[in-house]
Amino acid sequence: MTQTAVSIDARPPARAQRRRLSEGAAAILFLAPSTLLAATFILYPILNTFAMSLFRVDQFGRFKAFRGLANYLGLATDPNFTAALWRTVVWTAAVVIVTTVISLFLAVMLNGRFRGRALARGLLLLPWATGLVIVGLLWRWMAQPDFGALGHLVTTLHITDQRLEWLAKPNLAFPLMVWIAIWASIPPTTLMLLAGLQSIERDLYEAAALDGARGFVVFRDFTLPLLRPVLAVSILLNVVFVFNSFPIIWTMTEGGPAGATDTLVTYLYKLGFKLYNVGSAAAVAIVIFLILLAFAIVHTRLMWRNVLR
Amino acid sequence: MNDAPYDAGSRLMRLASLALLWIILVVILFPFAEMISTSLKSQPDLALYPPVWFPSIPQLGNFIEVWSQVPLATYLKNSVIIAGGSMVLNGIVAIPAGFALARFRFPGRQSFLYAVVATQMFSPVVLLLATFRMMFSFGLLNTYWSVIFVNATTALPFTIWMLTAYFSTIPREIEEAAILDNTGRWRMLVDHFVPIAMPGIITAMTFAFVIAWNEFLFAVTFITDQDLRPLTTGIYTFVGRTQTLWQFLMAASIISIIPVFLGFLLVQRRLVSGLAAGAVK
Amino acid sequence: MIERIDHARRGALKGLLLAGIALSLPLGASLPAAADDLKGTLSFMAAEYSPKTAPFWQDQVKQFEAAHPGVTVNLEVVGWQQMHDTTAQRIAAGNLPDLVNTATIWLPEWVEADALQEVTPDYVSDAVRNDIVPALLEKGAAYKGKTYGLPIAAGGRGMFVNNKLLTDAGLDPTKPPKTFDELKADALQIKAKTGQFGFAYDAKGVQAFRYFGFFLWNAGGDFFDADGKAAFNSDAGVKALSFLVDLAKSGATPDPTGSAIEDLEPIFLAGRLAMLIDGNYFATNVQTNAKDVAFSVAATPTIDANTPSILWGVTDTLVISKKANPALVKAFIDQIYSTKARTTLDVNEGLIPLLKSQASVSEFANDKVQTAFISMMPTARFDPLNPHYSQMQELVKTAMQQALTGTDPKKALDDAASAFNALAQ
Repeated sequence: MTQTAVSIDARPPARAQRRRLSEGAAAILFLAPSTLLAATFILYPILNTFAMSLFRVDQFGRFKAFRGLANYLGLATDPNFTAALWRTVVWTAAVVIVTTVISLFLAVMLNGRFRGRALARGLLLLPWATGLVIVGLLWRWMAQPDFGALGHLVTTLHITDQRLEWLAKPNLAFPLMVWIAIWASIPPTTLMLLAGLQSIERDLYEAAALDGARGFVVFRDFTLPLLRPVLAVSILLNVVFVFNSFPIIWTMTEGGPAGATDTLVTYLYKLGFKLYNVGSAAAVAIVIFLILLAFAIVHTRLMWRNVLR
Repeated sequence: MNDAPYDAGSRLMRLASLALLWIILVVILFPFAEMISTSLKSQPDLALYPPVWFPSIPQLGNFIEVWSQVPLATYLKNSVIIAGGSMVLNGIVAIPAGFALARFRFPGRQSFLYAVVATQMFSPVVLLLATFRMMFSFGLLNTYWSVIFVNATTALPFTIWMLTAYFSTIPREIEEAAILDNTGRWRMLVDHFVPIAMPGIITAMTFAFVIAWNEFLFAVTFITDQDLRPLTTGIYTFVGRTQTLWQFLMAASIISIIPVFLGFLLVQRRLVSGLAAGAVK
Repeated sequence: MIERIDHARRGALKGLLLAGIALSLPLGASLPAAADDLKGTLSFMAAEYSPKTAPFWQDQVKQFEAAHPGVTVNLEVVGWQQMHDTTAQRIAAGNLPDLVNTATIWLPEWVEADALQEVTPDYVSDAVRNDIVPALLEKGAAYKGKTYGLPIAAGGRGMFVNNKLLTDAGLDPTKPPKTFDELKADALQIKAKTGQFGFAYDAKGVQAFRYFGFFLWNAGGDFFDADGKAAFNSDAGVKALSFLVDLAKSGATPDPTGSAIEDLEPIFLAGRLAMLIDGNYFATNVQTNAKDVAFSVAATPTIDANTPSILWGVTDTLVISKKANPALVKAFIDQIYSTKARTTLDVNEGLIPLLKSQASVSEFANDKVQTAFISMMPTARFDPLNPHYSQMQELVKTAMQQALTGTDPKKALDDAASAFNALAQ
């Protein structure tokens, strides 16, 4: 707006001006409540975990003997740990990649107009409304070889007549659990991506169409790049969450048989809560943290240059 | 809402895509059909071989009996209080934070965002014992506050990230006008930004609510008083020591999903358009 | 039938029981008068056996508070899946409730953590103490010579047999398999002739170690030696595990690594499993939910005809925290260990009666299966108490799963044993 001599000279009264804090100070004030919340309820347990990883700790949380890095070394030499580590990477990659691809498709579809869209959107949210514990129990029930719906489905569709032991054979159990995790992750991911699509301005679409661009090409060259920041956030949050995912695998196979479907979290759980080697369990948790932190940093560098202004 | 205005390819492609969409939806919904079917079975039905897709005599009574098998109404009430409280607390702390991260310039912005996500990189399984000891020393065991505090904290990465992104899309003009009026930053947030950002706020708060509604581990550890149990742990009663009552477990689970599902439908339109501007720069 | 195991022993036992009943009946018949000058708070953490558990205890608490207006009882009900960890956390925080319904196998852990109060007449009246079947009191609450609580639940394990499947396979249900070899032969015969599973066992859930244990004990072995070190990798153990692996490989059983007992019970209920080892409470389950399955209960098979079959008894214990108020504890225990209260709880949850005064109660006397179990309890073997019992459970289960997925049984057990001994320093 045009500034006249009068407005330039009209400064706010000195009293009000003094009250205006610098941006840094204001930031501290605005960030203080959430910082306080997180620091109180998460910081101490996190520091406790770091500390525990350096000691031998019993099931009562009592520090028994200083071990330095011995707990970590013990992990490095345990083939079950390395197997679980590799499996967790595969698990996370499979779940996040497939979820993202399917969610992207669903988001694009739900962005277009068609009859029953509101219903489709509502129904899609159901797996998210169900807690992971119930999800685990439900699928475990369905995987029961004699009475479960999975076996019944396979027989009804004449795929095979065999009595499939879904949870006893790792080759069946692991893909099944990956699918369950995908199933549970699709709703929130689709929601995020759909929103991202919706925010792309209508005029921009029309401009692209005017250029003669059509269908998939528009999507690939135009929509996808604009969607990049949303995709980046979605992938990051999904990776962090799925890497640590516990209820599904625990309810279905407890990481068995003989650790054949262990991820780092189920391995950690057995170490800490069944064998009461809490110090080593804490060490596993720290390793998980370091891996995820590294991922977050690399991921941001790769994907995310302009998300924040 | 900005729906794709152009024809996304040939008509055949379009039909094929729609078909694929509904196929995916059916596959996704299949377990829920099984859930409903199981909830309508009687105890002997559950042991039938070969299993039946649908019980010959649907036991609608299960849905009534489940309310007296366990104090389901109490559990429902507790879940509403806990999830609602978590959502409100999370909102109170996350909205100012998102605003500051989006609109203020100061060193450490990125680090703060990272730090928030980093809190979720630790498995709750491992944090449990220390958190429990803390709650005990604060005297918060067997109170709603113990789980409310933890849930509000757990949802912070999601809500702060979403709110930050959403607030940063609001046009500069609004801020500039407010500054010229010499509005304090707090007033700016409350009087100007919040009303415009309401869809995004609703979205973030929905995430906070759902996360709290489904939380099991901390609830089962902190709350052992029967009167304060939420649905997640209360429903687990049916997984007994010697027998699991699947029909009631499923019936109770369905009942626990309904409030959230209805809530979704209510905010659905605002939810999506809220996430819309929220996630892109 | 369990009766077949040892007629002579059972006869003598019956005599003893009858004598005990005659002596103890007047003691169990009525509650001591409530003292109204009791004041304070009592905290009680009960374990959840079923949806009926919480209402039962809430009712008991109401009764108690009504009889003692100056007392408040804080009742908590915790599921069994969380019970161990919750107790450990409470001990860690220093606020263990006054009374805790725990599993006996964890008793040594809590004792070693210095959290429990030894039972004295200040805490438990002689009337109650003398009413409890002595074998259960000793096995269900004693550790290193001291008593740390009272048994609060008891059960036994037996082999449930589907009479019809045996008959259909050409076998005599009144003569169930007695040895390992007979079990394998019969199971295979049943599978071949009827197409149904002959036997099943759990190698996946919390009970997995028991399924190894039945065969370990019946081969003459045990979990621990006199020093508390691992003994399950003895010859007997290797024989037991090899037998189990062999049985699974033969196809007569569902894959044990995918089956926890709760997955196997429905198969038996559907009449598709001929023999299953389970707790006495399963009888009620079968009678209620699978009325068309005619079954009998047999002793678990042994390694050869000369080895006696061991009945595995399992108990849960009510322990007392060091900080508990003796007067309140004593009064509460007097109430909840009355014949009437115990009978209600036992019937609700399918437990075996603990009190001598319950022997003549109709609910138990008329149930043939329960009676059979009850009569065997005094000579049953119970879980050997060891502070690292939980770790043993996990290691044995892992060994079972490894053996079932290709590892040599001896190696799997040896690995488990050395891991156990390393932990137990």
